[in-house]
Amino acid sequence: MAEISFPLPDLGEGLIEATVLEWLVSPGEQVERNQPLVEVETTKSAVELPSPQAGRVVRIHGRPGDKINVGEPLIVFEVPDNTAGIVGTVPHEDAPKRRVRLSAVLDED
Amino acid sequence: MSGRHTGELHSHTVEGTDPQLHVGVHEPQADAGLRPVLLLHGFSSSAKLNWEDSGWVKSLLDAGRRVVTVDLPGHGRSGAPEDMDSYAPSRIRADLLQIAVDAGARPLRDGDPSSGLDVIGYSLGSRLAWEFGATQHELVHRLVLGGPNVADPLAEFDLVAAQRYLADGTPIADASTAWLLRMAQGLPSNNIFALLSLVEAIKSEPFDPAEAVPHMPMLLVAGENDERAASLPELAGLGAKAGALVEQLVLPGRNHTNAVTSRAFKQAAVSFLGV
Repeated sequence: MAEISFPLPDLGEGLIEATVLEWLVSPGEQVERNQPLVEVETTKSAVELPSPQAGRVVRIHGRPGDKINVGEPLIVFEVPDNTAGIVGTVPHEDAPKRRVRLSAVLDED
Repeated sequence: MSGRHTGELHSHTVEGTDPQLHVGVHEPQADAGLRPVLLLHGFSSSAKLNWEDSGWVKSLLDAGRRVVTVDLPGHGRSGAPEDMDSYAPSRIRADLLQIAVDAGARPLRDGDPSSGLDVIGYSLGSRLAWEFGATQHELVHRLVLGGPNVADPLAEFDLVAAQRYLADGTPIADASTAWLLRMAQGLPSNNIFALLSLVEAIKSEPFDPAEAVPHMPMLLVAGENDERAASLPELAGLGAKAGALVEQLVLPGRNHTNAVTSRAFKQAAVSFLGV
């Protein structure tokens, strides 16, 4: 088994930190990708962060009311060794909206 | 995220003009066979901020509900028309009716759980939902009203002070006006002048919940630390007097901003509307 740590992601709009409102998962729990993990509040709004990864939760960082900076550890997952390498290649569920036809026009250069 | 998403700029004309409202229809993977749910966001927010990023659309889709979101004029991906009439609450309600019908909502029929429309509002969206429910009782099945008001804080907004501040930075004396303007300026997607048009239109049609009261069952929700929580019993009293079944939920430790993501709020809404 391998451990994968995820930091608080960039929440956009120049926000550098967020406050933990409520954890929706706890250590030991098996979570699916896209399952809501935690509610956080920024100076602009409250958001629910979906899990970027399926796996068993090893650790969570920050209690309700704690501030976490973007890039600091948020959650650690345990995943089977053979899946640890694929982090970053997030599969996309949606069907492609547009079909691009690759028609070779070799004569034009 | 599960479900199919279609975004479109609403292009049906209402009373001869195009409201330019951005509508999103989200289809569940496993349809529960219940009526669609229309989501109405708050002032200076958007369908994305109020309902998507906060996890509401996903919660409703997971419950098998078909979800219809709309950005209010001047908000999110909707247009920002120049004419004041586009921002009048009465005009917005007419636009919402057209959007609901276009999205497939049909008048309530006894014994048909797919007929009618459920509406969830937050803050200004709750005001619109209250009035929409009161005037569209043949369509609206149930209401969930988050962070609702009995009076309209926007009606007290000091427009002159706001315009002076935007023109030359003159400080705004009224704290509520200053807070609302700061909130409105906080998001790059907001068109500040369109938002001020909305405020002006609301001032000409301020909220009076006693004027038209919805009769359908309603769930009233507010954060414990939201001053609007005090308005729940008053709205509940009005509803009950009109014959509505009213439930109230106060979310411990939450305020007007962070009540939106509350799991307890979503679960209560999904279960209240799941009949």
